[in-house]
Amino acid sequence: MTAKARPLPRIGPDSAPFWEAAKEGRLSLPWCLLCNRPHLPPGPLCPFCLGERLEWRPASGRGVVSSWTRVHKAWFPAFEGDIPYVVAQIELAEGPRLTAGLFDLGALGPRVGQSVAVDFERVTAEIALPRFRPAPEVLAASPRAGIGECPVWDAQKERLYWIDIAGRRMHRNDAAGRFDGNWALPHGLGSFALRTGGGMIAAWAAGLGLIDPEAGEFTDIPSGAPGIGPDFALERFNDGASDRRGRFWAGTLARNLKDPVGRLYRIDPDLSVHPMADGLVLSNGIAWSLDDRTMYHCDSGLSAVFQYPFDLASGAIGERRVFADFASRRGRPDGCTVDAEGHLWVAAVEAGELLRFAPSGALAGSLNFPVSTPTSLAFGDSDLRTLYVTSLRRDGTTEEDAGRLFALRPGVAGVPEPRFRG
Amino acid sequence: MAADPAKEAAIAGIGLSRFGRGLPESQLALAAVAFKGALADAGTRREEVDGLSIHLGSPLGVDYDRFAEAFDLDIVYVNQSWLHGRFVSHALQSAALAVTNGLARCVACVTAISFTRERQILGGPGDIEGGREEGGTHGESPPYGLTSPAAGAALAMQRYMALYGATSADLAAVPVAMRKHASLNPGAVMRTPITLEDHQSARMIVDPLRLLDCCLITDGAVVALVTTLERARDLKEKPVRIAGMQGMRAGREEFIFAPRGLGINQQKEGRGPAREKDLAIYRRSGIGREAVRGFYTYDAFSPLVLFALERFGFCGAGEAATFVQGGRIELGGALPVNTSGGLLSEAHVGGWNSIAEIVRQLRGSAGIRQIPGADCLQWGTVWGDSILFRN
Repeated sequence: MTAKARPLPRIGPDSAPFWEAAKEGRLSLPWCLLCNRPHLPPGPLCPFCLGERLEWRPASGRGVVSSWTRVHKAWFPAFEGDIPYVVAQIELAEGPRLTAGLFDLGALGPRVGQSVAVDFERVTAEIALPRFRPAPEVLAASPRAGIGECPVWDAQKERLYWIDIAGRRMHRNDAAGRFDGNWALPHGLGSFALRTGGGMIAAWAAGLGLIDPEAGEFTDIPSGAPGIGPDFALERFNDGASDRRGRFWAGTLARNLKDPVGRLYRIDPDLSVHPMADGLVLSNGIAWSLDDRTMYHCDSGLSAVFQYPFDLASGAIGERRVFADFASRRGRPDGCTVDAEGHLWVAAVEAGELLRFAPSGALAGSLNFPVSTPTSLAFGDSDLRTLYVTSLRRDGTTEEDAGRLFALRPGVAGVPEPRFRG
Repeated sequence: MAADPAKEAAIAGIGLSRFGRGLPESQLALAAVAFKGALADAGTRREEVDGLSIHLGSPLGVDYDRFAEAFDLDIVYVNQSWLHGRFVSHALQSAALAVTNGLARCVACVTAISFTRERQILGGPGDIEGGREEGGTHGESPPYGLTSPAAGAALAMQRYMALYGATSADLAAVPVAMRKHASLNPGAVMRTPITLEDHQSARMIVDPLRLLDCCLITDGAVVALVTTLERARDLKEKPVRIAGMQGMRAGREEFIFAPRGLGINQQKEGRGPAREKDLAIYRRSGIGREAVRGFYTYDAFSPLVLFALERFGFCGAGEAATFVQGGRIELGGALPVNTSGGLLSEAHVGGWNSIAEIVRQLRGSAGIRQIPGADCLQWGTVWGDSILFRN
């Protein structure tokens, strides 16, 4: 081999089927027909039961990063130009681990525990090498929503609640990600937050309520006197969230999706309603920095993520300024959440991307999403390390999974979602 | 171990060449210096040497047949292991088994290497290791650009850090200790003391391993003469007894550069206390771990020291990063490790620089590095093999 030649896999009779499949862009595993287990590296027989009848079957191509390294030194001249590059061990969904390349994700990883899906890198006409990339997983058993939104992890019940705004339903998934129930809603729901004592506060399209869809209970509450609360002729409630003092914040969108008549409201535990910001077109995700000194707020109409100085004690916000401008970026900001490292995740709807911003506003990573319309995201599961992402389905879309719920193990944890204390 | 001195093996003599980088001598020339040194040390003649146990053969080292030919030996027992650092105790154990079973009277354990001249063998285009049997057992995978043994240690450490919250700064305690020992060793290649800050500012090689987490690349030779305790007692120097030993571990649960259960390669996940099977050396020798005055290990990369300490139960799973802090593994600490500086700072002579140090310590001739009352020392590695030495 010349010094510049890239080292190629050493292919023998036992591993040949693996590389044959890889050449065609498929990941394949040898399964034992006796004990029905796959193994790696490929051997002449099953290492578990010594069964000799093996069958190569397509693998899911999914797995998690069990370890990784980033190589900074050029041991091999052929890799000089790639430095630094990432190589990982991937624990495949089927069990065996595989060493393979991993697309470098900068601040988004690599991380132990991150979920990935296989891709291939062709290095010669005959050889393609598995190379993995982070991958949201579609929770296929979940319904296809018209407008999936507002995923909220209930740590007490270990359930994920999310809504279909268009279909007027609330959905629920269990801790294993399985869809396990849904309830019809009497009105269009913009958003909701869990309450400390159980149930939820709801921001209906045209009003507020205290609700418990599982028990079939829906109680309206006042949404503010004229001049204080929303003018539902012009605006309707959209996304909302609770701050860490248990106040519920929900914004409105302009019914014509054009005029800046939307506002942001704060609903205190005593159920009083306070207009906090105006001039919005399509108010969306709201989240707070870990130190509660900054409030983030997306407006999909204005195509920007804003930040406000925030005073946790009083619930007051200061002057708005742009945190991330989407004018020069594909898509629009929709839902958002802050992770345990203080970074803001934003679902970029229409761009098919999840974005992760550092507290400075610098983009710290982005992730291609399987459909172009991710809408909102929330960390869940007992370890708060699964990122659930809702999506919406445009009429006439050819994207099969648009509208479904997705789950992703990005390798970073979220923080517990505060509850409304009213 | 048997009380019969004809059934117990001992190191009767040790010889060393100089250690250094870019030495002009051939491996055979380095071996000659070490071999003649070992004969002189033991006060014996080459005619007494009828066995060879070669740790690393050509092209990195010297093959047994060339060695026998070059020094006109009449050899009746040979062991030569594959070109890997891991076979240190294997070479010694083969010699011990040979002399105690009458296959040979005196076996020369030979390590003579020129890493600097054969540099491309280490992870470079000349390294065939990664292509071995569907992927190297170090975790190398050259097609993906994992071409150095360091990569396997990096993969293991990265996961260890994620599981236990250990940090690169924790790891620094290992190279800092090794360098402190080397600073007391005139024969060591790297002698300038280093600090935590030096470690943290050293360039990253294979994340999370920094430059100072990777051993030196050096040349040198060590020869140890192994015979029965009975014969060794008739020779010049005080015998260093091989008081207990256990072999290397292998299987799906083993990865050369990781403790069991870490979840590397095909290991299952789930770490527990050290297995009884891995502690068998203490039981079989009747020497408890608490009797060990110093621990010697193959420190090609700093994580290997952590993993070896856990393997032999000096601390629990995931605890070694804390265990090594505060000077515990330094001379003067509770468990000095690699007191001549190890592979990280003295020299990479395949671990035999540490075997030579064990001999010095048990003879009481380690000078300012002498461990007070050193009467029992252990060689033990991340891959589970071990030898207990007594004086």
